[in-house]
Amino acid sequence: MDVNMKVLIVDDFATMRRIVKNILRQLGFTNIIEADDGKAALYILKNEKIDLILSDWNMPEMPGIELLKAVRSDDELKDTPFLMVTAEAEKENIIEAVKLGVSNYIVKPFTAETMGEKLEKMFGK
Amino acid sequence: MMGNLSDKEKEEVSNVINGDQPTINDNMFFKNIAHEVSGDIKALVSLAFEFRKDLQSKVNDDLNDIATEYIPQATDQLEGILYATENAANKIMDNLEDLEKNISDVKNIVASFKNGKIVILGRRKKIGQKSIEKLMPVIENVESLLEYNLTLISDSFVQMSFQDLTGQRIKRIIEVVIQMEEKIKNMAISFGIKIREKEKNPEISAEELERVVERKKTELSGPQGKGIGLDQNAIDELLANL
Repeated sequence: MDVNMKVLIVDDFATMRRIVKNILRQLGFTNIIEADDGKAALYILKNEKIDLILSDWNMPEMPGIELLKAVRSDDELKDTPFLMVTAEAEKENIIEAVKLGVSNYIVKPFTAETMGEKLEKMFGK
Repeated sequence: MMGNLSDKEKEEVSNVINGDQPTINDNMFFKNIAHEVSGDIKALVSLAFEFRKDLQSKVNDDLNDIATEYIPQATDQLEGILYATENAANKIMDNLEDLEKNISDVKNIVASFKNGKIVILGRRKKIGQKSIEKLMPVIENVESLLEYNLTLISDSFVQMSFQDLTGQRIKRIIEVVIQMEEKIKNMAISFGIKIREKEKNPEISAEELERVVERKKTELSGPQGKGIGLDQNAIDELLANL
């Protein structure tokens, strides 16, 4: 797993973005940028090379699931690893996200250890 | 309920049921229903107000001042709580990050000490290997405590997720409360105005009554709190009319 990869955190709660950022830093990631909803994230994705998207599900302007749809339907972005980070632990939501091509799914609150395991599954050690 | 009606009222009810007398003016049937329904509405409105008062009594003084002066709506008070918890969470995280930095600095000092170097009052000193060996158990204990403190800080960061998790739930409650308050307010206003206008003018037509309701609703929503909701007096007046 390359800790120099560029990570985009998408969450409408600034507190949560900060928590995720801190957890990523604990795992060695330093190249981290943020967006407060799906629309802002899409704008960044169109203009910068992002190696990993960590997105919340519930956001006002454009929910995480819509961002996932947009990413997977864009030829240039469709292969970007997408980790859904959310409080939505319902089976239906997970199935919906998997069907749309989510790379992995992590339920809040989570530890650095859990995040590390998920990322290792996605990228290898 | 029919047992409580006078003969005249029973006749009116019968006329309404048979479709003989649909006018609002003399219709006791509708009036009785209106009284029944208005009791429920009154209870709902009271509930909404008790909820607001309860919130005001439970939040801290600063928040209460903000709430009573600027945000009299229950929904806005919930948003105020969200804001306060977010500020507190951010302050706690600022502190945690400072602690992390301090621990990192102490770890560097300990590492330097283990290598026989230490800076005292800006001057570099060397420590002999024997002294280091003697102090090694203490150094290892300090290192262990520093690692443990880092774990505590890391866990505290994770626990800060409460702000996001509770915030999402509060946001959902705010949406429901907004919808409920709006519906209850509209119902209370319509019923309150209708009953008062009917008492003032028993001959008023249904169409005219609707026009009065619309006009009064506009008047009521205008002057309060910079256009945000009804104030306590307006609601008290409505409650008194129900």
